[in-house]
Amino acid sequence: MKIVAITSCATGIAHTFMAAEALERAGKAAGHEMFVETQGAGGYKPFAQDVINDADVIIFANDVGIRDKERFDGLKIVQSTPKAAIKNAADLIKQAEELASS
Amino acid sequence: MSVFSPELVTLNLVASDKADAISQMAKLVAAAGRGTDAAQITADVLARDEIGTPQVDGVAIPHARSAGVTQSSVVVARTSGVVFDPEEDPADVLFMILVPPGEGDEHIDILSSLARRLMDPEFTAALRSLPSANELFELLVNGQK
Repeated sequence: MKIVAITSCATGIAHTFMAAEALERAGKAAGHEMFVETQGAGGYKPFAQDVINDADVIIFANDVGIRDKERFDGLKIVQSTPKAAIKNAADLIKQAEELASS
Repeated sequence: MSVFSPELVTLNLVASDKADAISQMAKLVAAAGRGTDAAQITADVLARDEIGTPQVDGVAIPHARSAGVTQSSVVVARTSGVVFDPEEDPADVLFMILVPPGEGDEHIDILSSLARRLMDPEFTAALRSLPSANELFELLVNGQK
């Protein structure tokens, strides 16, 4: 399936990118197409709208507010934290799979 | 100037706890002429640690924006084990990432790509096994975008 994720953290330097890398690795390992938007200290590059339109599910791994969150209205959301993504990204991918097929 | 320096790599940090480890690493930054106030750096990193220091497979990444540092810097230390999070095993490799207030995007990009590299098991294995500070420095520099 197609999974999108947003990562963001308080400082916007470390957790955000570690969580992104963890989710990309875990998602690809489980055979999914992964798209991760890092909302870090250097700003962010928003997803193309068709990436959002085609997504089966979104993972929010944030501990500060998601920017332009209304872009994702209507999507099934797994709400988590960067820390959880770093620690056990595979589990978040599994939650996303379950939510998407529910 | 690079965020990395051989002066900021130490292979045998002996610390009684995380505050001691952070303080010693902050002093390396000041001694290298990249910061003016080791106590301020230590306080800022400990304040950021209050909301959680990231740790993956024994590598902890204490970090902060701090007015005590004048150049973005990454301190790397191998230790016998420092507890950052009581729920985690002690960390044996520490990466302390320091950014001055108002730092531009270029260094942020370097630091964020470093954060991504820390998720690569081959990279962390090399961090633990390389025999000298210079070789460790080379690993950091050559992998950077």
